[in-house]
Amino acid sequence: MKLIKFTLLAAAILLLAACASSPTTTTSVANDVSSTRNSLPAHPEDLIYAQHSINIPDPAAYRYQLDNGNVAYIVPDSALPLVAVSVHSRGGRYLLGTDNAGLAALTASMMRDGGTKKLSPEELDEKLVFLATSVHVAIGATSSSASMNSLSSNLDESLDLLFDVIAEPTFDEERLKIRKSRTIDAMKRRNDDTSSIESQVFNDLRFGHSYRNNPPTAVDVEAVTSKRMMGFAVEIFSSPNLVISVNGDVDPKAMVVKLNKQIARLQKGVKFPAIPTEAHSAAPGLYGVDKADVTQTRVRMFHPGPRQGHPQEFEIKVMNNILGGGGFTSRITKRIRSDEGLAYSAGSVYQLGRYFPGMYLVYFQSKNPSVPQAAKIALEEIAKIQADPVSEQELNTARQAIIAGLNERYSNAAKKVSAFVSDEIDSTPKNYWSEFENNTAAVSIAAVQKAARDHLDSDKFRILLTGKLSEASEGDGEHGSIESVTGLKLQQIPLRDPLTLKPLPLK
Amino acid sequence: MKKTLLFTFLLLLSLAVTAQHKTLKDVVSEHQLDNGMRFLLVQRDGAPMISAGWVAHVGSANERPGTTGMSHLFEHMMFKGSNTIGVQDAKLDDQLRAELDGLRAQMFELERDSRLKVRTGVAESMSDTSLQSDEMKALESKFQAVIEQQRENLIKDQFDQIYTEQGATGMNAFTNTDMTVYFIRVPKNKLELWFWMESERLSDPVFREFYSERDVVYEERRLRTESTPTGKQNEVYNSMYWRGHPYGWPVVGWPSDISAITREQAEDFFDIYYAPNNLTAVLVGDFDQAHALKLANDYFGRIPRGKKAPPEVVTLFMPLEGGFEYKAEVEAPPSATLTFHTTAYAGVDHPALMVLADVLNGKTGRLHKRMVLKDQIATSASATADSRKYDGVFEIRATGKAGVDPQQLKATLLEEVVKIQTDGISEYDLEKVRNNLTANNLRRLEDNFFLGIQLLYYDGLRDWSYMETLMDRVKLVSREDVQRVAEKYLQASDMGSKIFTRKTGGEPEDPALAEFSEQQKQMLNQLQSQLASASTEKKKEMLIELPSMREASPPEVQAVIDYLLQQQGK
Repeated sequence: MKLIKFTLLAAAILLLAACASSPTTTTSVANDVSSTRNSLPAHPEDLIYAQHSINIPDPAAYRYQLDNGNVAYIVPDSALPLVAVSVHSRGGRYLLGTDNAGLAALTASMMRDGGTKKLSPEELDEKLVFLATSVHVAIGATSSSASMNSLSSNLDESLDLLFDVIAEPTFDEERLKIRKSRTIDAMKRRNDDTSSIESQVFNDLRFGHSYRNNPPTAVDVEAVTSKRMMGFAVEIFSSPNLVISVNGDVDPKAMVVKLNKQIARLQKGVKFPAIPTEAHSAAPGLYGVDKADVTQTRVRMFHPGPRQGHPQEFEIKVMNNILGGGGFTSRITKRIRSDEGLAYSAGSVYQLGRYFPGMYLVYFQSKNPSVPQAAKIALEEIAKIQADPVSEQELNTARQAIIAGLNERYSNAAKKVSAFVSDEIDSTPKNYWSEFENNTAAVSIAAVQKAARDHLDSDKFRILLTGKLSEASEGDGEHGSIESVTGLKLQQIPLRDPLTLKPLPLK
Repeated sequence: MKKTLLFTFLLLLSLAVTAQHKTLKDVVSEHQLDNGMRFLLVQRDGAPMISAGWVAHVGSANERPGTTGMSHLFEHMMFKGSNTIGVQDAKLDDQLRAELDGLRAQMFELERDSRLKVRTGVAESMSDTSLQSDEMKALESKFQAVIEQQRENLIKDQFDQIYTEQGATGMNAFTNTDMTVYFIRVPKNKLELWFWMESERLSDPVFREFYSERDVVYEERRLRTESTPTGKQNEVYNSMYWRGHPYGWPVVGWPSDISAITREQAEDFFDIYYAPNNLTAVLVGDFDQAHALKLANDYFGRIPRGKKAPPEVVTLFMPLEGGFEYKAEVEAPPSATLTFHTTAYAGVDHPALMVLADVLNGKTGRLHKRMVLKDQIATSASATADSRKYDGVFEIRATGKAGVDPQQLKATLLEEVVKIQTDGISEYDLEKVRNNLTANNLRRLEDNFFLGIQLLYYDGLRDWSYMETLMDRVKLVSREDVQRVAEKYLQASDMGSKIFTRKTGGEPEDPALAEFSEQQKQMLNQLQSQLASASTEKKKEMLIELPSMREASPPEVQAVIDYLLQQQGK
C-alpha cells in the first residue's frame, strides 16, 4: 500500500474546491432506516446483485469528419464549465530515426515556452496563466499531442493560443539557451539514483540504439537549432496525420466549426511513412549495474513476446494476470511480497507490442542479499504455471479483473474521448471492444496453460540487477547466488558518463 | 491587461460557476450513524463505478517514540482479513497466532540484552552477527515453523481476491502524519459488497501475518528512504525541524520501533483509533441514497462505538530560537530549502499563505522568473503553504544548476521574500492567482475517484467542508494580507534551512571545466562563492567589474572569468 508523502498530496489538493459557503446539515440515519442486522449475509458469496451490463459506447456517435481529411471526437459534458482539447498526431521520434537525438523533447517544450508569432515568450506565459489555461506539448516515439485545458468562458481565446503554439511557434533564442542548459543539467542527474539508471540500461538492453532509445549527449543538445525544431514541429502537426479530441462544456456542432477554422492554419503535409518494426534486443543473459551505496537492488527480468492481435491475446492477458499482473491476487506478488516479505512491489507485465515485438517482464526491488531468493521464486512460479493447470477460482478472478477494466475505460468524458482517439490512431478492429468481454470470458484453464508454455521462456530472460552487486549476487547464504539460481554468468555493465554517454571505467 | 477586461473576465467566470453549475455543498450530503460514524454521499448519475472509501482519523502524529510506524503498519494489516475471510480454520489460526505472540515475547526478552550491547557499544547494530545466540536461533526456527503451519491454513490475500473477482478495481490505501485512508472502486451494482467487506474488516479484523508484513514495510522504507539520493537526509532535516513534535518522526517509523511493535499494542491501537466514532466514509457515484444509507446502518451500525475516545495530541511546536541550517552532501544537484513555521490547516492566515505561495509559483511566478529565467542559477524553484492537521510550515526551495553554490540559492530565495515584505504584490498578481485557484478548483471536481479521495483527505484534516470555506476565504484575501503574512511568518531569523551540495566526485564534470588546471578551478570556486554571498547590489557591481578585470588578466584567468560570466548568463 502506498505511503504518500504528505506534501505531494497536499500540493495537489490545495488547488481543490467549489464555490459557496454555509455548511451542509447533518442528518441522523439511524431513526429513519429499519435495522436488519441479523439478516446480513454470512459471506460475500451470499450477496445477490442486480444485473449490470457494461455499456460500450459507439465511437461513431462522437466522430466528426473535419476538413483536410482529419477526424475529431467530441464528447460533450456540461457538469463543469471546463473544456479540454487535444491535437493528436501519428508522428513521433521514429520520423527522425537515430539522428537528431534530443530534438523531439526540446521541440515539445520549446513550442510551449518559446513564444509565438503574435506573442513573446513572456507575453504567452502571462496570458495563459492569467486565463488559467494550460497548454502542453508532448512528442513521443510513435505519437504526439498538443493539449489545452481551459474554462469554457474563454474557450475561443484559449483555442487560438493552442493553435498559435502549434502553427506559429517562434523558438525564442534566449529561452532556447535556458532550456538547453536545464536539459544538460537534468542529464547530469542520470546516475544519481538506481531507478533512473535501471530505466536507461533496461532501454539499452531492450531496444538497443534505435528511435525508441536514443538518449542525447550534451553535444547533441547543443547542436539543436530553432530552424530544425521549426521544421520538425510543422512536420509532426501537419494536417492529414491528426486526430482531434474535445471533451467538456461544448456544443459539438459549434465546436466542429471552430476546429475547421483552426486546422486551416496548419501546413498540409504528407502522410507519414510506416513505423519501423525491427527490434534490437540484447542477447539473453544476466546483467548488472553496480551502485554500491544502496540497501536495495532493483531487478527486471524480461524477454520478447508477441504483438497485439495474436490469436492467443486474451489467453496471454489472463495468464499474466494470474502469474504476476493481478496485484495481491497474483502468484508472484503473493509469494515474494506477502509470503516472504522480500519486496514492497513485485509482479509482472505482459505487454503485447503494437508496432514491434511485445515483452514479458518480471520486476521487484529487494534488500540486496535477498535478490537471489526472490528471483528464484519468480522462476519457480513461471515453471509452475507452465507445468500445472491454474485453479478455477484463479481463472475466474483474472477474467473478471480484466473485464472490469472496461468499466474504467469509459467512466468519464475525458477517458471516453481518449479511448476513441487511441482506437482511431491504432486502427483497433471495430468489434474489438464489443467482443472484449466475451473473448476474455471464453479463456479456459487449458488455454492459460498453453499460453504459458507458448509465450513464457525462462531461457530467454534478460535479467538486469541495478544496485549493490556484491551483496545482491552473493545472496543470503541460504538460497543460492544469483548465478546459481539463474544458471547464468553475471556480466557487469558500466555506468555511462551522463554527458557523453561513454562507458565509465568499472570499479 | 486593462482593468475593465479583467473585471469582465472575472464576472463571466463567477457567472459561469454559479448559474449553471452546482457547488460542492449542493452535492455532498452528510449523515451520521448512532455509533458516531459519518458518511458523505455524492450522487453522480451515469458512472459505471462507485468510488468508495473511508478515513481513519489517525496518523503518525498519534504515535509516540517506541511505537512509531504503527499507523502505517496498520494500513498494511487491514488487508489481512477476518475470522471469515483469509483463513480456512479460524480456531487453528487463533491458536497459531497466540503461539507466535508467545515466541515473539521470548525473543523480545533476549533482544533487551542485544539492545544494551548496541547501546553500550559492544555490538554495532541489532543485526550484528555477534548478537546471534543459540537460544535466539532456536526461537527463530521455532517461529518460522509456526509461520509455515499458519501459512498452510491461510487463504492468501482473499480480501483482495473477493473484490477483484467481482470487478472492483484500484484497491489501495495511504498513511500520512494525520490520517489513514482506504479506497476502492466497485461496479455500481455491487455497492453492497463494499459495505460487507469494509464493515467486516472493521468489526472483526485479524492481524495475521503480522510479523512477515513488517518485512514488507522495511522494504518500503528501503525503497523510499534508504535507496534514494536524498531520502535519508530529508528524514534527518524533518526531524530536526519538528524536534519533539509528533511530525518529527517519519510516517514509516524508526526501524527499531517497527520491529518492536507487538500484536497486543496493535490491538489496543485498533480499539481506540479504528472505532466507528473515529471514521468517515465517502461514496461518489451512481447509487440510490436511501438504499446506501440503509446499507450503512445495517453493516456499519452493528459496530459498537469505541470505549475510549482517542486521546488528544497535546505537544505543540517549540520555536527554533534563532533557526538552524542543516548541510549535507548528497548524490543530487545543489539545492536550498527554507522552512518557516506557520499554522495548522485552515488557520487564520492559511488563505493568504496559499495566495503567497501561488505568487511565488509557476511559469510566471516570482521564483521561476528570477532564478530560472533571469539569473539562470536554478533548474526549478517553488513554494508550498503546507498546513496540516496539527501544525504547518511555509516552504520555499530551489534546485540549482550544477556548480551553483546552494548559499546563493538561499540568498536569492530570501531576496524574493524580502521584496514581497517590502513592496507587496500588485492587484494583477492577486487576480491571476485567484483565477488559477478558481479554475483548478473546478478541475479537481471532474473525476469521481479524485473527488472521493479529496473528501476523505479534507475530512482527515478536520472537516470536509473546509474544501469550500477555505476557498471562500481565499477570494477575500487582499494585497495587504499577502504582504502581512509574508512579514509575520517568513522571518529568516527563525527559519530552518536545508542545504544540499553534490557529493565530491559525484559531480559529472562540465566539459568546459575539464580543461581547467587545479589553480583555475580554485580561483573559479573563490569567485563563485564571493558572488554567492554578495548582496544583489554588490553582485551587480562585481559582474560589471569582471569584464574590465578580464582585460587586465593573463589568458588563464581570462578563461575563468569567461566561464563565470557565461554561468551568470552574461
